[in-house]
Amino acid sequence: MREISYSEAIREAMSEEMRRDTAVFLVGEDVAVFGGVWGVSDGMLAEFGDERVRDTPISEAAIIGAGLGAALVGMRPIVEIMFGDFLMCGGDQIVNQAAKARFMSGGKANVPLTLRVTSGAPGSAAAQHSQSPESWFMNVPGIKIAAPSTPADAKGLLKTAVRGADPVLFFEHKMLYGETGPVPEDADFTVPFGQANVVRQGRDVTVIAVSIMVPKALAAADLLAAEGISVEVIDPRTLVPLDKETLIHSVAKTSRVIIAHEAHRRSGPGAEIAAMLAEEAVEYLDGPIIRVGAKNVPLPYSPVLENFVLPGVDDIVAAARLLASK
Amino acid sequence: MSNENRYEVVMPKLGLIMTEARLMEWHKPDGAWVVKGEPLFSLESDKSEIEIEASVNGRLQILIPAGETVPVMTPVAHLLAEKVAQGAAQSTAQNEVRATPKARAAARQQGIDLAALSGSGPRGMIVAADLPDADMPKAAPQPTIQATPVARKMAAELGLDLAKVTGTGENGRITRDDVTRTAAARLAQPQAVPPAPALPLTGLRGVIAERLSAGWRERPQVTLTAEVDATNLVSARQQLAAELGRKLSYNAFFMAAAARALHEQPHVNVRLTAEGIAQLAEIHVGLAVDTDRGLLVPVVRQADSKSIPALDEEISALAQRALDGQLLPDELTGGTFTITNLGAFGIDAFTPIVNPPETAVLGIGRISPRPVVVGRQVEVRDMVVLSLSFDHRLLDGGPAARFLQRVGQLVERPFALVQINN
Repeated sequence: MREISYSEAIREAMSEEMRRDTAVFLVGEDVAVFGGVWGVSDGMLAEFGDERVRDTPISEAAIIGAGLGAALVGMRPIVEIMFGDFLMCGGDQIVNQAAKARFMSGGKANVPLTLRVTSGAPGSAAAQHSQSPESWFMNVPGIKIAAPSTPADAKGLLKTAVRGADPVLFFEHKMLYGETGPVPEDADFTVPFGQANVVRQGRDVTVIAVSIMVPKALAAADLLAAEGISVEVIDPRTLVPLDKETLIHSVAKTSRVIIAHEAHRRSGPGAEIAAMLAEEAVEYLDGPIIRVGAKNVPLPYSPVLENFVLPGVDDIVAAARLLASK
Repeated sequence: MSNENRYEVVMPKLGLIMTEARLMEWHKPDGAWVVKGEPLFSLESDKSEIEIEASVNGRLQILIPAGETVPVMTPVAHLLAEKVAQGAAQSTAQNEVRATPKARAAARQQGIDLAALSGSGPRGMIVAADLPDADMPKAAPQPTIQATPVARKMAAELGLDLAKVTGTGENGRITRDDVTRTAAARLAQPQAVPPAPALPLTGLRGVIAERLSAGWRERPQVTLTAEVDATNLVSARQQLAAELGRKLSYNAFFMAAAARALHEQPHVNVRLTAEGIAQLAEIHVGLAVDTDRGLLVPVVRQADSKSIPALDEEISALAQRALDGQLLPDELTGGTFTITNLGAFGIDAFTPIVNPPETAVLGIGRISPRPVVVGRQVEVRDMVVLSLSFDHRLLDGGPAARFLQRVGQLVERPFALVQINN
């Protein structure tokens, strides 16, 4: 299969959906003329024109509100948020309007709105441009949350989001944009929500890894294999809905769990997953559930400090050694 | 005494206008151990009699005697927590065991006491890998019962067998409500239920039951008895005690005698294996110890190469650890012969049961002065009855009798035990 980058896979998904359905359009800061500050929509203005690829003022409330309004009247907008850190500027649009519209209207309105949001630390972008805000919205029913870790999942999940009837927060880790991988060319290739991917099979420890932590967990698994610790790596792919069955099945096999995400440990996605496992799979556990995540401080600018705060391969290795008593 | 170990029981205020009440009756005597939920006292207020239950476990210290009338909120008693009260050290120790849910479930299934293990997991917790697999005797596995932690705790406090509770929680898990309902139904039943709940045949009791019944079914066991003169042994023990300046147990002498006889007559130091009768190279003698938790048999390794004072020290240390529940699995396995002494209970003779997979067991009765014919005279001698039970498949009556005779000789001539085999 041909290999393309995560960034190209997202562009391909958007372009295919826009060719397939005229209700789909892209809107966001610098997505048109500039091709997106991350280059994701490069060339799309030329193909689809400025009606369907639209630049906006720098106001998340306005951008998300525009997408919400368009979705309510039957469009399928893709909204790009340049930095997920500023989602809270459009917080009411997301939490009280997009997530609630179907329920407050008694089922008369749907919000097929895809919010493409960058997340994660790109290196020395400091505290306001480096966050991983996935779990901020896990507490809000009515929104689906995807966090793909590979180019193929990015394409397949994005197409599912665009074709679906619900608002979706689609988190793209900035450090994954350049990563390449095999991606199907089939224009109808999709990846369903709520279906975790067992990326690597193992016996001793389950690492549930979110987004950028998937490649890190795989690197850790290689190191640990040399020590005789067999690691199973699972990518939930969507945090809402969460594929509990696959996670519990793995925990029943290994009895040991690490949950790795770049978000801060406190109340990050791992908190919900750990609580779910404690409720539904406690009898299988042969040790504490360990969360690997960013330390609970705002992300520093200094590369030395930033590396200290962010979770890495070595953190997963250390946690696995602790659980496997080696 | 710190307050955290003392729960204050007060005269409750049971109504808005209630100001005082008469303490009618204490349902437990002063100093009694009270379990949470048991009736503690009755009070009379506004002509109605109300029974008050204990809110926590503890030893009762009554402050206000029955018959007195006191204002509401007056302290009427203390319940002293386990750390303060005597005799409850065991349950405190159990609470301190740190283990994973999986290790706890496995230990429960296998009838293993987690308190005897040390943990290798995070924060020192016991993980499944710390449980002995093949070496530990296993009780028949019980089906895993899914229950919430609070339901387990309540059931344990109520003495309720979770296997008899129907779970209505998620995936049939037993919840607090299920335990409450079952307990209430049990209370509602008329006198059909016996007053004392039966002790479940699990844990150490289960292991003992399983091993002994297996031994009894498989082994044609015969017991020989011989009354021997222990007068010299009594004297030897007194002399050695005076020499060492400390007390010595008779068991050290009997173990030395048994070990010597096993050394001389190796046909008793054998074990039946799948291949046939295996001659065992080393002599490891177990000593039956009666503990609160049941019978334990710690093993003295190479007993035939140890002096009587050394055996005495080792026996005393093992017995103490057995009583404290601190024996390691290694110290409870690998015996090739067992001695069991019921003399302290005034037992003269008995038929001990062979401790599988061993071949024989020596029972020791009490040593007591009895009239004995020596020559043509009646003399008072210190006599003891030795009982040897053995597996008749591996040992004929003749060789077994020779073995018991030799043990008897060594009891009568304890000076011979000064010599140690190497």
